[in-house]
Amino acid sequence: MPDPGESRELHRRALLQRAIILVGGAAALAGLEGCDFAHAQFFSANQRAKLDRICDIIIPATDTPGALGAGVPAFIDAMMTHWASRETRRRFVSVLDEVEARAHSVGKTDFLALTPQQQIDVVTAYDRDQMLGPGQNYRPFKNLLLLGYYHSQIGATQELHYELVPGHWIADAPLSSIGRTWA
Amino acid sequence: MDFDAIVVGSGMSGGWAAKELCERGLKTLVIERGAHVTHGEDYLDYKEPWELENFGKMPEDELARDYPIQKECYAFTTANKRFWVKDSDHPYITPEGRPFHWLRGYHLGGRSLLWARHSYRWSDLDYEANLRDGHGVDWPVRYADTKPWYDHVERFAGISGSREGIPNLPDGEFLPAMELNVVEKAFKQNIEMRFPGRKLIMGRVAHLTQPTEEQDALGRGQCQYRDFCYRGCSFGAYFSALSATLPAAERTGNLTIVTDAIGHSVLHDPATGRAIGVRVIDANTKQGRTYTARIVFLCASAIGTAQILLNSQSEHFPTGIANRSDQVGRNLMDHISGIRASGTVQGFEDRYYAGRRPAGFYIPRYRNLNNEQGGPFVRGFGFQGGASREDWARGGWQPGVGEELKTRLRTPGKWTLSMGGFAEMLPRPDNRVTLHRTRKDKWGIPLLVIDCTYGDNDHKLIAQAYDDAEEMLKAMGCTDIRIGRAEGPAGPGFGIHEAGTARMGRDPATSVLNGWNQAHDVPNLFVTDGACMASGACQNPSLSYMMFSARAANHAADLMQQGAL
Repeated sequence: MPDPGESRELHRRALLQRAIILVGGAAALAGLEGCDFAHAQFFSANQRAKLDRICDIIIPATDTPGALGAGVPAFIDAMMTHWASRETRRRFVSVLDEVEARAHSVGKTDFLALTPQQQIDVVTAYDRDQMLGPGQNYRPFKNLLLLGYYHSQIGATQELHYELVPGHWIADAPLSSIGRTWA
Repeated sequence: MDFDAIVVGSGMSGGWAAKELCERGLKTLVIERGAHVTHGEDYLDYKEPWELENFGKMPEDELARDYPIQKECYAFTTANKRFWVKDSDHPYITPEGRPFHWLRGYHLGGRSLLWARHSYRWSDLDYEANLRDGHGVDWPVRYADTKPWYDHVERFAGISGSREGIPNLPDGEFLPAMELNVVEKAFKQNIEMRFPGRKLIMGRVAHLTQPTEEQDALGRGQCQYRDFCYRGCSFGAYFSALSATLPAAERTGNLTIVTDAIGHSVLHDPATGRAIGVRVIDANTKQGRTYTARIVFLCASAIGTAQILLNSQSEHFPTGIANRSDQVGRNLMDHISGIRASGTVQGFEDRYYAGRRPAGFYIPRYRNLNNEQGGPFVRGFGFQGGASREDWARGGWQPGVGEELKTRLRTPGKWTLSMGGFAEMLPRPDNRVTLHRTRKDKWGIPLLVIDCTYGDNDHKLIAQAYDDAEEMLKAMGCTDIRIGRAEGPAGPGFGIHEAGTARMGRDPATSVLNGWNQAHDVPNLFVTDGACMASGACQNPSLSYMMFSARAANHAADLMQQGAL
């Protein structure tokens, strides 16, 4: 009779083995999806340039890559094609327009023509107004941006912590032993 | 005869009926209306968050077009899209202003792949309720009749939980409980000190925290704390028909499964008074065909089973088979869910957790424990909930950009306690499903009309549950307490605990099934899904559906052995 504990361990190892194979397969697929993201083009070149800059301001590169490094603008662009309804697309375009309008009202010029610091000031003030007000267009935008960053591989594993298969439940741990938010 | 037994439905109840019948040596056919699903292979539980299609978000236009009802369910993502019906393919009718959200999936394993896994026994508080307060008909069983079968299904399914000695929530054959986190423990202590009679326990859930040899032999592994259950679990760590009962049935050599076969009606022989088989419609070709057997088990879910019974019309049963009582389709119940309350907990800022525990706490019913009369309401409610620290998603509703935002979200936020009430809904004959006179689905089966509302007592329970949740959160010293009174609870259907449409009872004139889930009017016809329930209690019902299925299947096998069937 094999020891049931041992057979369980073998079984667990077999399952994990299978997990690894499947993860490999999934990663290959994800690579293809990445290509889709790169090729999808919902936003015009000018809109995309604004989107890039806004994403970069909201989640900049620090000691870890930011939204640009994690491919968030390409993700948002692809989501406009693969996920968003016409109404949601309108909201996202409106965010770019609203930021543009604010740039004109404070700097009398295009958002992209402002200095980097002026751009940061515009987006910071816009974010505050929208998040403290109804923010009908901006809230879904910011939510998707954060999802695109914190559930990207970079956001989840470099900026935060993520374990695909934790294998344990530790009900009480000092925060210092974990260090960062779980993605 | 093609088979000894036919089981219609392959989910929570059907899997159990099939397992028990097969293990008793009966050649058993399981009929599933949806597609085949291969355990493991067809799950997306190994995908990283960034590998999921649209990071899990279902396309908005597709939801609006094909899933206007299913999209309301919290568990619906691109990772499990195939486990939900397209509403556009499976319509039903509700009266103007009285919506019913019928959340479901048609595939092998049914909703056992998608359930929330909380597993609670009933007690005589529940089995005697109808008799005591006069709502519904008296249950033909008591806890003592069901206890050995609860033991039986718990041992096999694997229920993790703590032994608590709570009379109205009997202890069972438990695997080790998962652990409450620090804030939940503090909440437990606070509630139990401030509100004598109330208890907070770890949810009893169908997860293998420590697999037994029997579970191991079925290829089931230990819970990995991924919280991907709604994608299906390749480890087989939570109980489903695909991880547990159907493989057990299969290894007897007595099981045959047909998928894409929609249960149309049960055929009846007036000469013998017996059911002779089941007519099905092929989901793909739309051709009809018939399977015959000595006994028939309907396990197609409360509403699905009612549809089949009502559609089984003959000269002998003009309003549907086994419906002399006119109770088929009536007394539809759900649990009133979405009674939401939450609050922010002060302190514990240096504490966190690791792993993703796929379950939360439970506060069992504490009101009306003596079925006392003359109070403002009868029956009761329980709560499920959990404490967690806010994660990065809080950035989506807080102002802030740039390095400040990034740094802030790098550290978990405040502890939040959230809880949701589950209240018992009384059986009322007017809450019912019927067949539409003329409209049919694309397979020629009459469309269902579902007419279900909350009643007076139900509303009183809801109001009390909000008050109680608020006082418990206040006693805990929570701030930013949010009570969902203004939006109200989720509407009928959202509990996904449909029950009651072919109730058990002692009197054939007022009930459809006897105490063995056997149709009063047709002795070889059994119904063991939620349809059989004579009342709803407030506990999650799946464990009881499993128990009744196993118990009835063994009784049917006994009767066949004795030559009575």
